[in-house]
Amino acid sequence: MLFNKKKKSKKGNLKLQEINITPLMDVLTVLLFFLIKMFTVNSMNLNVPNDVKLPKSLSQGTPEETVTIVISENDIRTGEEVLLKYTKNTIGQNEIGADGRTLKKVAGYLKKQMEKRNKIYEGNTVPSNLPTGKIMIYADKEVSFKVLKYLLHTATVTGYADYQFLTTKG
Amino acid sequence: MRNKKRVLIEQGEVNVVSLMDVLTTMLFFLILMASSTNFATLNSESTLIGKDSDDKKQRFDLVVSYKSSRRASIILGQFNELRLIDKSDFKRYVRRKFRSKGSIGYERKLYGKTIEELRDKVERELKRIKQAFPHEVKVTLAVGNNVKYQQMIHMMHQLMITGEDEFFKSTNLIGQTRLIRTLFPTVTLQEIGEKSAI
Repeated sequence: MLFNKKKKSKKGNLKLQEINITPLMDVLTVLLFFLIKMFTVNSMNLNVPNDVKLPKSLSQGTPEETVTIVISENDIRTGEEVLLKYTKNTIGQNEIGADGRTLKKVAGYLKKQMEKRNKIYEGNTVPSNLPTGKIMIYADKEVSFKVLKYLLHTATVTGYADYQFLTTKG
Repeated sequence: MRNKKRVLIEQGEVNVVSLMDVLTTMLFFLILMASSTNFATLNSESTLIGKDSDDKKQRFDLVVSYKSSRRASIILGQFNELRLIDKSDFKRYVRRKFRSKGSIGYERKLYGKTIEELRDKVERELKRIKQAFPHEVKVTLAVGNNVKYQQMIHMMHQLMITGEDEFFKSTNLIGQTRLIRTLFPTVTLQEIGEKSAI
C-alpha cells in the first residue's frame, strides 16, 4: 500500500512547465536600446594598427569619417598599403618631390582620393566651391615633427588642409 | 468570513530575476561603450599657400614657437590699432614681460626645467593675452623639428583650453564678466621659420 502511494506521488510531481519569457524580453529590449545608441554615437570604425601608439590627450573632439594616413616609427601608410618607409626620423630624398617638401607617393594617393570626392559632386558644383578636405592622422607618439611636417605639407598641397590628429583619452 | 480574508492577504514576493538580468546587461554595454569611445581628435589647420595679403589693416597675430621640449617663445604682433580690454594695463604688461621686435611685434622667451613646467608657463601668458583679447580665437603653433608628436599634441591642447579646474575671469568687449577655460581653440600649424604652408 505504502509502495503504491510513493509511485503515485512521483508521477504527481511532473507538472507541465511554462517558460517565463518576461526576463528575456527585458534583456532583449535593453540590448536593442544600447546597440542602437552605440551605432548612432560613433559609426566610425577606428582600426589603430598595433605598431602605432597614439599620444594621450584630454581633448574631447569626436572623430569624423575622413581620409586616413598612418605614420608609425618606420613607415607612412594608408589602411591597406605602405606608401613609404623611413628610418631614424629621416625620409629618403628619393621619396621627396622637386619642391623638397612633398612626399611623392603620399601626394599620389591623396590626389586620387580628392578626385574621387570631386567626382561625387560633379554636375552639382565645381571643386573650388567644395570645403577643404579633411585628413585623419594616426601617428605614433614618438614620431618627430621632422617627419610629420612633410606629411602635413603634402596634405595641404593636395587639398587636405584640415587636420584631425587621433589621440587616446587620458 | 474572517478566515477567507486571512487567506486572501498573502505575503507579496518580489521577483528580482528580471531586474538582475537587465542590470547585468546594462553594465555589460556601459563597459563596452566606455571602451569603444576611447578615441578623441584634436583639430587643426594649415596656413594657406599664397602670396601675402595687401591688406594693411592690423590683425591679431599670436604665434607660439615651440622650439624644443623645454624652450618656447610667444610672439605677439603689433596691437595698437586693435580693440582690446584695458589697453593701458596690457601695454604695461607687454612692456614689462616682452621684448620688442620692431614691426613684427613683441617676443617673450620661456624656459622650463620640465616639459610640464614649460607648458604651464605658456598657459599663464596665454591666459593674460586672452583676457586682453577675449574675442580672438586663433593662434599659430610653430613647431621645431626635434619636437615629438606627443609633445606637439600636448602643447596644441594647452593652447586651446586650460585644465579642468582652471577657470579664469574674462571680460568681453561689452563688459560682461564670466569664468572661462577656452583660450585659442583654432590652432594653425606651422614649421618654425616658415611664413606660409608647412
